[in-house]
Amino acid sequence: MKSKKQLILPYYTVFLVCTLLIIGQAQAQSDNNGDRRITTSYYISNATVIPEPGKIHSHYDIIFKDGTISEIGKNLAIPKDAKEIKGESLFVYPGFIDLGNKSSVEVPVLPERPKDFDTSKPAPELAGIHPHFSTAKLYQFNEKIEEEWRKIGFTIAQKIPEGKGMLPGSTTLVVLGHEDNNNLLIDNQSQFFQFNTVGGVYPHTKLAVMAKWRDLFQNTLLYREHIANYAKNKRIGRVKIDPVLNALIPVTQNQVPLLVASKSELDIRRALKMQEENSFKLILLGVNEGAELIPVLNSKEVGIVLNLALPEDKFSDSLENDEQGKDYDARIERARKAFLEPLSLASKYEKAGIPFAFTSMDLEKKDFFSNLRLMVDNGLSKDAALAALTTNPAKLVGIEDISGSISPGKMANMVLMTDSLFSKEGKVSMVVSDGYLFDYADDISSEKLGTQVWTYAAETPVGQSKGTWEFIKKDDKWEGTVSYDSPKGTGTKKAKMENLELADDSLSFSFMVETNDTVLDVTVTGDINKNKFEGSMDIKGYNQFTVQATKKEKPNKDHE
Amino acid sequence: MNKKRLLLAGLLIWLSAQVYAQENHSGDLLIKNAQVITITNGSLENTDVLVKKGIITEIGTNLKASKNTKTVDASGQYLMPGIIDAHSHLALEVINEASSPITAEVQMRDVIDPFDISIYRALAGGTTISHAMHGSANVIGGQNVTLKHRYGTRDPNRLIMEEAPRTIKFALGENPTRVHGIGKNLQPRSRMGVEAVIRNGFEEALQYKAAWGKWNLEKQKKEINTAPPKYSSRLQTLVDILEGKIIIHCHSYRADEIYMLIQVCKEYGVDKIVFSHVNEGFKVAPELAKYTMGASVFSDWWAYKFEVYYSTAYNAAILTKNGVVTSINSDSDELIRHLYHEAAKTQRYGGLTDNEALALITINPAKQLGIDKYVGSIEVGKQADLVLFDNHPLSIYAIPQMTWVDGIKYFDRKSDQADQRIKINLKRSPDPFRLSTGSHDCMQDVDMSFTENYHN
Amino acid sequence: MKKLKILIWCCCFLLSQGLMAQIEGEVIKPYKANFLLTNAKIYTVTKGILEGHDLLIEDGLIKAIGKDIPHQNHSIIDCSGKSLYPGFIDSGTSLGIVEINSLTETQDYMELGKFTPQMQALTAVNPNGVAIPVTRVSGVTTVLTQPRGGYFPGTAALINLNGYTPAQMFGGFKGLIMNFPSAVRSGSNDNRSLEDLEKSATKTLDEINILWEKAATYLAIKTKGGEMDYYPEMEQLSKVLNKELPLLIEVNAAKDIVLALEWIKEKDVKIVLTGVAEGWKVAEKIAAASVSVITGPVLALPTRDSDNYDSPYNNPALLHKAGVKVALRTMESENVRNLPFNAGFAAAYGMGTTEALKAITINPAEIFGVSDSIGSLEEGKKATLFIADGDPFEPKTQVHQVFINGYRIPMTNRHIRLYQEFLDREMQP
Repeated sequence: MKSKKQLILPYYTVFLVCTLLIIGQAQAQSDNNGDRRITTSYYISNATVIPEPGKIHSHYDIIFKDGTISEIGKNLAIPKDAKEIKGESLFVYPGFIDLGNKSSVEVPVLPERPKDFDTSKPAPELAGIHPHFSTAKLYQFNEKIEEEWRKIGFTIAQKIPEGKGMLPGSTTLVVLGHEDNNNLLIDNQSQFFQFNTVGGVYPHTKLAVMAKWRDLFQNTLLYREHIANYAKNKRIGRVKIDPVLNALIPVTQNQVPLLVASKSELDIRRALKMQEENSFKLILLGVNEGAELIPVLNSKEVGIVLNLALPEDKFSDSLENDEQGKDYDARIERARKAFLEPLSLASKYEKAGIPFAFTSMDLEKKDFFSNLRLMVDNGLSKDAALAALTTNPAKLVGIEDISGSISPGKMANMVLMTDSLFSKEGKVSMVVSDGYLFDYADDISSEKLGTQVWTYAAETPVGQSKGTWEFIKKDDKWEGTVSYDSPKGTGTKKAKMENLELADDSLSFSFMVETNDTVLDVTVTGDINKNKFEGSMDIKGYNQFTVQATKKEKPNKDHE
Repeated sequence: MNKKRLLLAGLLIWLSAQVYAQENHSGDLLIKNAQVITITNGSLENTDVLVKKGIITEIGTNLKASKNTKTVDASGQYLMPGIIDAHSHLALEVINEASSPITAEVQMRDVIDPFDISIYRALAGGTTISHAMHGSANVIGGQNVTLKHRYGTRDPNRLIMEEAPRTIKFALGENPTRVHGIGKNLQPRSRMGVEAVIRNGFEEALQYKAAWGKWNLEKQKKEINTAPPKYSSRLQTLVDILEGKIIIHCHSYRADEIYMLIQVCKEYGVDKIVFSHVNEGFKVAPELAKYTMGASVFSDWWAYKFEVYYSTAYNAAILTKNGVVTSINSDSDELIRHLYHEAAKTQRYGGLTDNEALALITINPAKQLGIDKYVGSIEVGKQADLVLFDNHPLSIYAIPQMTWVDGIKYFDRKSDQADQRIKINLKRSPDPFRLSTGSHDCMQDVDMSFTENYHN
Repeated sequence: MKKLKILIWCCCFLLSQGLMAQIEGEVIKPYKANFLLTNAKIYTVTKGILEGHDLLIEDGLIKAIGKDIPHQNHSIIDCSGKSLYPGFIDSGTSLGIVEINSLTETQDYMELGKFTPQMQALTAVNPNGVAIPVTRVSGVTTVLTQPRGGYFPGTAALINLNGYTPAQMFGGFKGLIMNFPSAVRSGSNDNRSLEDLEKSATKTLDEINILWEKAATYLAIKTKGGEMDYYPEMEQLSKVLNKELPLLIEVNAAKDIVLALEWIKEKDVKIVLTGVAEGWKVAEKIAAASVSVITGPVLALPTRDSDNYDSPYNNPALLHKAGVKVALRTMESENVRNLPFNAGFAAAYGMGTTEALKAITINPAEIFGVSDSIGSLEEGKKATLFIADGDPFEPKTQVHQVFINGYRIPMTNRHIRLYQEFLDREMQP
C-alpha cells in the first residue's frame, strides 16, 4: 500500500499507454497467424457524417491513421496507404461513451475476517470502505464481453468497481479497442460512492453510511492538516499511513469528483446534502426519477448521468380484476402513468438546459436502441440524445480533447449505422474503436429479415407439388428463387422469381416452368400471416391451384 | 405616470408575497364559534380563533379577518391543539442501525421518507407532529427528528420542525440485549451490561472532549507540537448529551432499569431525560417526577414481552397523579391515527379529568420534545397546529373533521378522497394487499442473521 | 415421654397458628348467589331499552325482568343511574392460549402441519391466564378463542371468562377454522405476476379440495357403518361435512372473498366468513350469498395504500348496510378488553350504536348457535351481563359489576392491584 500522488498518475498513465502503443506498433512485423492488419490507415468514403450533435454532412470522407482522426471533409486527398471503407448509405456517428459500466471488472479479493470479528468495529476493507482499490487493477479486458457493448456502438466506458460497500474504489476510463492492447485511458478518474453496504457490519444501513461519510471527510481534512504540520515540524510525530483517507484527499480538494450512484430522488437529495455539508465535486450516476429536483440541480454544479434503463411495463396484464371498489380503475391508471414518467425524464433535463450523460449500469443491451427511441418519442430531442452519448460525457470526465466528436486530432472512435440512430431499421454495421475496425455487417445480413426460406405445397390435379422459395435482400431489394419438381421428370429445378413483390402481409411473383411441350407462365399471389402463407398459383391458360407455405424459423447457413 | 407604475408594482409584489405565504409556508385562517379546548387555559365556549401567517394571533368572540382569509364555521364542534406523538417511526426509510450498541452519530433526518401514506393517515386522526425516532435495537441509538406533518411535499426537509431541539434515542432491557448480546456476541447481554455500555460511552466522550480541548488550545499556538486527534461524530454527540444540548428519550420497561438510568444521569449531570414506554414507570413514579423531564407511555399495551408482563393500564394515571409530566405515544402507524382515543382510556383506567387526559397528547409531549414554546396548546403566539372534531375528542364517537399545520389545512374529511399517495414506487408491487394492525416498529431493520442491507 | 410428645404437639400447634396469622389480605372469589339489580336502564338488545326496571338473577339465570320485583332475601344492588348490558362477545381471539406473545413456550395456538383440524383450542386454554381477569372487567364475558396456521389450523371454541377448568369455561360452541388460499400480492416486496399468484392459490385450493373429498369419502363410509383406521384429521373434517361443526373461513382480500364465495356455492355445510377486511368492496356479493361475517379488528390499517384512510372503520357499517349479518372481533390475546372500543368506532363510522351493540351481543350469539342462552337480556337466558355507569363504548364509562352465568365476578385483576399499590407509593425518593 504505497501512497500515491493522485494528481500525476492519470497523465503518467496516458503517457505510458501511448508509448506502449507506439513501441508495440514498431515491433510487430512478422505474423505467422496473419492476424496483423495490413495498414493502420483508413478512410471512410462518401458517408453521411454527424461529427457532433447538431451537424450533419452528406458525401463526406473521414481519414484516420494510427487511431487518430486526420481529416474530415468533402473530396479529400486520400493517402496512398489508406484502406477504403465504403460509406455510401451509411451514417457515421462519434463513438458512444458510457459513464457507468461494470463488465469485465472483477470482484476485489477481501481479507479474511479475523477470529474474534467485532461487527461493530470492522476493518474498513471488511466494511466495504476501500476507496484505494483501483478498478484499473481489477479490470480484465474480456473481448467476448466487451464486444457485446462495442456492438451497440460504445467505444469508451467508465468502469465502476464491483463491491457492495459505500466506497468500493476508484473508476477507470477505458477504450473498447483491440484486445491485445492496454486499453486504459485514465486511471482513478473519480471515486465511486453508493448508498449500499456489505451487510452484517457497521455501517449497515443508509443512516450509518451518511454518518460514516461525514466522519471520513472530517478525518481526511485532519489527515491533510497532520501531513502539512509534520512537514513543518517533525516533532509532531509521523503520519500513520491510512490508505482510505489518502484516497479521499483529492476528493476533499475538489480535484477528483465523487461519483454517487443515486437512482431514486431521495438518494439524490442525500447526495446533494452531502455536498452542501462538505464541498466536493459531485456527479450523480444512474438517475431515473425525480423531475422535481431539476430546478434544484440547475442551481448547483452537479454532473448528471441518466439511466439508460427504463422500467418494465408490468401493467399490460391488469391486476386482480375481481377487486371491486369505486376508484379501482383510477388507481391502476395512476400506477400505469407512473411507469411512463421515467420515459420523459431526459427531455425534462434538456428543457431545463442541464447537460447530461448516460450510463448502461442497469441496461439490458437489447433495449439500448429502443429505449433511446422511447425517450425521443417522449420529448427528448435527437441532438440531446446524441450529445448524452458523445460530447456531454466526454466533457464530464475531461476527455473532450480526445473524444466525443469526429474531428481532426481526436481518437478514431466511430459508429457506422445502416440508417439513422433513431430509426427502427437502423443497425450498427461497423464500429471503429481506437482506430481498429470491428465489422458487424455480416451479423445484419444473417438476420431473419435479410433472408427468408419458405416451404410450399400446391394442390394440383396431378398431386401435391412441393418445393421451397428462397428470398434474399440485396441492396434494399428482394430477390428470390423458387424450387420445384420438374414436370420433365428431371428432378428438382430452380427458377428465378420475376416481378417479385414481398411485403410483411403479402407476396406475389411469377416464374417459368419448362415442360416437355411448352413453357408455363406461373404466377403466385397470396397473403402472409406471420409465418404462414395462403394463396393461389395461377398457370396461364390453365387453372388456379391453392398454395400454402410456411416460413422456416432459422434459415440454413448454406443459403447466405 | 411613474407613481401609478410604482403603485402597481408594489401591489403586485405584495400580492405575490401573500400568495407565496399562503401556498408555501403558513396560512391565514379564522375559525368561528367553536368549543375551544386550550389545554392551558380551560375550555372556551363559542369562541373564535384567528390565525395569521401560521401563528395564532387572537382568541375571542366576534373576531374579524380580511376578506380573503379562509373562514370555518365551527358551530357545535370542538377545536383542540394538534396532537403530538412523542414516539413514532413514521416517515422513515430506515429505523435501526443495529450493527453497533452505540450509534449516536446517525441522524434520522438523513432518512426521512416524505411519501409515507401514514403521514396522511395520522393527519386524518388529528396528529400534527410526530417524533420520528431511531429504533430500540441499540443501547444508544441515533438522533431523532421532530416532524411536522406537512404532507404533500417531495422534499424531506420540509417535514422537519427546525425549531425543535435535538433529541436522541436510548434503549434498555430486552431489545438491545437480544440484538447485540444474543444476536452478535457483543455487550450488552444483560441489564448489567446495558449500564456498562452507557458508562463506557460517557467516559469515552469525556476523554474525547479533553483531547479536543487540548488540541484547540494547541492550534492557537504559533508552533504546533502535537498531531490532531481523530474526529468522531459519535463521541462528539455523546459530549453534546453530557453538555445538556440533547434530550435523551429512553426506551425502557422495567422499574429497575429506569432507576439505573436515573442514577447514571444524575452522576454525569444529565437532567434532560424523558423515559419512553416505561411500562413499569408507575413503580418509580416519585423518582421520575423528581429527576426527569417525564414519561411517554402506551395507553394499554402489555404482555407482548416478558418485561411488560407486569404492567398496568393505569400507568398513565398513576404517573400523572404523582406529578410526572406524562404523555401517551403510539410507536405504531395504526395507533397514531387515534391518539385521542388512547388518551381517553386514562379516564377508564384511573379517572383522569378531561384536561388531564388531553394534556397527555398535547402540552405534555410538547414539553418532552422541548417544543412547548411553539405548540401543544391554543394560546396567542403559538403555531396554528389545530384539529377540529365533531364531538368531544375524548368521546368514542369523535371523528376529526379538519386538521391544520401552521394554519394550512392538510386534512378535510368532507373533501377526503381515496388514493392520497404522492408517489408510486416503481420497484415495488403496485398497491399490494396488506393486513396490518400496526406492530411495534421499534425492532424493524434488525436482521439477526444480517444478510442484505437493502431498504425494506 | 408423654410430656415431650405433648410439648412437641403444642409447639406445632402454636407454630401453625403463627403461620396462619402471617397471611393477610382477603381474596375475593367469584361466587354464585341470587342478585336483584334494581332500577336500572336495561339494554335488552332484542326487546328495546327498558327504563327503571329490575332484573333478578337466580340459579345462574335471568329469572325475571320487570318493575318492582319483590326483594325477598336476594342481594340487592341498586342500579339507579346505571345501565345493564348483556356480556359482550368477542368473535375472534387467542385469549387463554398464549400468555406472552414473544415467548414461544407460552404460545399454544399453532401446531405443526398444514392439516390439523382436530387440534382443540379448548384443551389448551389456561383458565388462570393473567389476561382473563384483565379482560372480563371491561364487560367482555365471552370470547371465541381460535388456533392459527396452515390450511386447517384446528377447532375454535367459545369460552366464558369464568371457570377453573376449560370445561367449566366452555360456552357451547365449537367451529372448524379454515384459511382460504390467497391469490393477491401480499406486501410491498411481493412482485409475483398475476399468473403466478393464481397458480399458487389454485394449487393450494386443489390440495384443500382433495382433503375435502377424502373427508366426504370418510363420512360416507362412516355413515354406512364401515370400519376404518384411526384418522383423526378426517374424522374432524367430516364433522363439517355432516353439518355437526360449522366452518369458519378466514379470508380477507376482495378477490379472495369472491373466490371463496364461489368455492362454497355448492357445498351444503354451515359457513361463516371471518376476517373479511375488504368485505366492503364486495359487500353485495356477500349479502347475496347469505353468509354471516365476523370481522375486525376495526382499529386496523387500511389494506391498501390507496384506500380511504377510514376504510377499516367503515367496513362493518358497509357490510351491514348491504344486508350482511356482522359480528365484531379484536383478534387480540391480551387486549380483548378493547372490543367495546372497536364497536364504538364501528358505530361512529356509520354503523350506529344499536347495530354495533348487536354485533357484539346477539349477532355472534346467533352465529354461534347459542342465542337461546346468551346475547341479550331476556328471561330464561343465562345471567351473563354487566352494570355500567354509562355507554360502555365510551372510555369514560366505568363497568361496576360483571356477572357470568350468575357468578358475581370480582372486579379486580393484576392491573388494578398494581394501581392500588403504586398510586401512592411508600418510601418516596
